[in-house]
Amino acid sequence: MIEKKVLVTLKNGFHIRPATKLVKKAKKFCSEISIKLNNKEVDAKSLLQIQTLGISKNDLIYIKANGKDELKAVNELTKIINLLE
Amino acid sequence: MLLNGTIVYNGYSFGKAFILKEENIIINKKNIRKDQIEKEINNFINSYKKTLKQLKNIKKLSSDNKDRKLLFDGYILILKDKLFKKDIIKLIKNKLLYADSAVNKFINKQIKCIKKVNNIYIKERANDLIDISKRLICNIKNIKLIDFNCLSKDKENIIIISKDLSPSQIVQFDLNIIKGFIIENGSITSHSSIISKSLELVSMIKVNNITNLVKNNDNIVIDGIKGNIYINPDNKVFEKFNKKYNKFIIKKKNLLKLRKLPAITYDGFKIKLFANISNNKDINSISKYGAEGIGLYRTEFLFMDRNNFPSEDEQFIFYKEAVEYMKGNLVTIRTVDLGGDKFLSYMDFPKEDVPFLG
Repeated sequence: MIEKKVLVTLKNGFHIRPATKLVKKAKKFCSEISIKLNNKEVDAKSLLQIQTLGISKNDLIYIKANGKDELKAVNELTKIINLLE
Repeated sequence: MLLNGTIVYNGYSFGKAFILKEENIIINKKNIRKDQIEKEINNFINSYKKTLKQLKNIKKLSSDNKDRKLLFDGYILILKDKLFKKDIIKLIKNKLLYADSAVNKFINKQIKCIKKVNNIYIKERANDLIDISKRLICNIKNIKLIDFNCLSKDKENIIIISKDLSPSQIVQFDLNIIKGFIIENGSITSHSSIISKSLELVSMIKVNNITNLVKNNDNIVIDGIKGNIYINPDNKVFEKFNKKYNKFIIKKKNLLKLRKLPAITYDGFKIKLFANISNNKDINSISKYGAEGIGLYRTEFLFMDRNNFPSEDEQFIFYKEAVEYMKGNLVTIRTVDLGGDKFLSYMDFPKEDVPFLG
C-alpha cells in the first residue's frame, strides 16, 4: 500500500471536468485507489463519490493505492492533480 | 409585445418561436409487488443503455470543443459509476420501487451530498446530475425527449422558448437553424449559460412567463444588447433591428481585425484599453479581444441569482481569482452597485425618488 499527500492548487476545485480527467486516469490502473480528505475516504474511480468530497483549492488530500501497479498509480495521479486546470 | 430579461450572450437575433414544452414528469411513488421486480430491473437496464447511447452521441456533437466534450465525458462516467447501477437496482429490489422512483431517490441522495459541500462551483454542478437523471427517467417512462434534429427540415430560423434548457439540450442545437433561445429560469453561472456563451448563441434568461406569452411560429426579435424581446413586432421594428444587426456584425468583424494593434491616437498618445466584466467567466475573452486588464469589474452578479448574501470568504475567492488570472495587469473592482434598477430579493430597499443619482 502506498500513500501520498497532494496539495490541490486547482482554482475552482474538483468540479465535474477536472474530476472526470482524474477518474479516467485512475481507471487505467488495476490497483484499488482512494482519495482521502478530512478523514473521509472515497473510491478514486467513482466520479459520484469524488464530487461528494467537494475538494477545493488549498485542500490537502491523500492518494492511496493498493495493488500491483500501486507505485505507478500514485505517482501518475499526483502528477495529473498538479497539472489539472 | 415587449418583454425583458437577463442577457447571457450579446447580439441580435430573429426567428420563429419554437416552444419546448416538456411533459410533466410524474414519478410513480407506489410500491411494486415482488413478482414485478424483474420487469422493473429490465426496464431500468434497457433505459440505462439507451441513455448511455444518447449521451455518447451528444458527446460526438461536441468533439470540436475540449471543454464541452469533457463535460459529457463526465456525464458518461457518472452513469457508468459502479454505484449508479448497483444502488438503483438495490432500491428496486429491496425497497420495491418502480425504476423511475428508484432513479429519482438515488439522484436526490447524491444531490443532497453535493449540496453539503462548501464550494460554490461544485454545488452548482448538482444541475448536471439533474440533467442526467431527467434523461434516464424520460427513457424509463417512454417520454419522448425533444429531438432537435427534426427541426432542421424547415430552413427557417428558430428561436427556442422554454422554461429551462440543459447543457445536453443546447449542444444538440443545429446552429444553422437555431439562432437563439429565451428561457424563464436559468442562471448566469450555470453550465447552460457557459455553453451558450462558448457557442456565441444569442440568449436571454429569467424572462417571466415567456412560454405562456408566446405561441409557436410567433415572430421573435431578440435585442440582446438592451435585453429586450419583441413578439410579433411590426415591419418598422423588424426593419430597424435588421439594420442594427447588419451594422453590429460588420462592426464586430472590423473590430476583430484591430484587436492586436496598439491603442495609439493619431498624435501618438498611448491609451490603455481595458475590459468591462461582470463575472469571472468573462475573463477568458479579455485576452481573446485584446484588452490589457480589467478596467471595471461589476460585482453585482455575485449578489444576484441567489437567496442570501455571499460571505466575505466567498467574495474574496472570486476577486482573488480575477486578480491572479490577470497576472499583475490592472484589475479595478467596483463594490456592489445596487438600487436604481438592481434589487435583491433578500434585501429590503427603501424607495427613492431619483434612485440613479446614487
